[in-house]
Amino acid sequence: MLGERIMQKEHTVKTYEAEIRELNAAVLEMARRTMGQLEMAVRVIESRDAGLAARLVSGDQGVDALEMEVDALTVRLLATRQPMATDLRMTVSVLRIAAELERIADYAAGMGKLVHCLDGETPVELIRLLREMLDIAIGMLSDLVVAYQELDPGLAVAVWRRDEGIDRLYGDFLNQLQLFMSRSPDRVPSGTGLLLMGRHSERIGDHLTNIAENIYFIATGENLLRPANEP
Amino acid sequence: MLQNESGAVPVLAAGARRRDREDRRTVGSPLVADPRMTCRNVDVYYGEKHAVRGVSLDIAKNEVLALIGPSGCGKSTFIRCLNRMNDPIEGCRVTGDIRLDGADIYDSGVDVVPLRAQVGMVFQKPNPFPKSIWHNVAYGPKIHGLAADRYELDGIVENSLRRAGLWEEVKDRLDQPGTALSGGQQQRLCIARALAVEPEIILMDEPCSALDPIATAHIENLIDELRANYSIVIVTHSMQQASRVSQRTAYFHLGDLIEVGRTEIVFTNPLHPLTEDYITGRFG
Repeated sequence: MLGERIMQKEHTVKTYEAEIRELNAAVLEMARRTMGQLEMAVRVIESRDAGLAARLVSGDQGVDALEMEVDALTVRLLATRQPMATDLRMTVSVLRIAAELERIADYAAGMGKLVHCLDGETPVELIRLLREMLDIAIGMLSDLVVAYQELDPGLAVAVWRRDEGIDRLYGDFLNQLQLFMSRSPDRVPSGTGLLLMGRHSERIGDHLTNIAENIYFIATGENLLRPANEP
Repeated sequence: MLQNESGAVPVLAAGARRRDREDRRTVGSPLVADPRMTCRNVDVYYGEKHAVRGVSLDIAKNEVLALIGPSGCGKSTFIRCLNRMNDPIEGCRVTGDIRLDGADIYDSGVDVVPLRAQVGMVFQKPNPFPKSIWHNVAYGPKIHGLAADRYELDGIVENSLRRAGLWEEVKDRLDQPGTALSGGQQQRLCIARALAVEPEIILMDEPCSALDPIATAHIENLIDELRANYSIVIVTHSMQQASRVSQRTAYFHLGDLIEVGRTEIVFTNPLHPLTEDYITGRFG
């Protein structure tokens, strides 16, 4: 259960407790499916398998459906329970986290749509950089699930920092891509697709840092980027 | 990736401000810079029972201070100390120091009748006198000698009813019994009665608990308007009401003042686990 270490007691109202558990379960399932989408994106990049890419694209619908479920549960909680303190921070943050997960899953599906840009001429180095960016993202999301369940602000900050690794790899990726595209105008169409795939990976990292900031806020009530004594 | 201005993630100090559950010293901001009323080390005993324990708390000018906490936590006992309403209770003993504008209200020379005009009180159940609306409001100014004649009294009655937001509803039936008004109107009549004797502080002990949501909204709107001229201390069991009407909130638990702070902070990020338990419904 969310933050058992901090929230040692259950709600006096059992139905309220059940609704919060339901919301937690929905957002965790969303994170699990998003993770599956990212892992599938890695396999698609490595295999260039069109069938797998189609599954990656269609898998996005499940994440979208879960986001709508989180939306509905959140609105119901706000309207009927008027949550306070940690419950309030959790409820509004889950709404934001669900939106971030939906965007991450969108980017993963977007990579499936670009699989035709990968072919035998695609430099191995570009594939490696894409996979490494996604591997970092998968690790970040995995640890964010733990940080959320444990309400661990230290882990949230540690994950937040790991986006720098994705940013560095993205810089390398752009350099390699420019080299690849500069050799022949024929490579511009596939290069443009690769550029979008790299950009998607970099944006996934940004959305993961947003999730880390929301978990930090749930756990501490403070903004990760703004110290508590600032207005 | 977002960065703060220095480009670095702030050093993590999460939870550093939070109190241990067992630490019952007041956390937050119980004292203010320019208080209207000060309370220091206030203890209240009912015989052997220690009902309020060493409470130090200021009431600021032009603020609404909400007192919250479970039944029996001492919040009503504490608010009744502020105009010595506990004096007639047999076996009740109040120690510590409570001052209004610097003057000790428990000094032996203090007359409680004018004190209770300066620090007025509105109770849970509206309690108009069994007299006309006019007499309900005029009674206080008359016994306190605040008006020279009927003409001045009429002025005080009208002004008080206007400030209580009731004038337009009753101006044509001032001679009718106050008890004939609706519950919400009766409560506003009681507020008008308190205003008529020119108070500095208005104490409200669950003033809306017997009212419907519309009457409650009228009272809450009135509380917000009255803040321009008075300090208001309100005891409420409704945390939504506390969060709507007050600027500071104080949480009592088993006679201790556990936490005081800006209302928006107390309800979004309280410092004490006991406050968190109570406002999230994990009490007990």
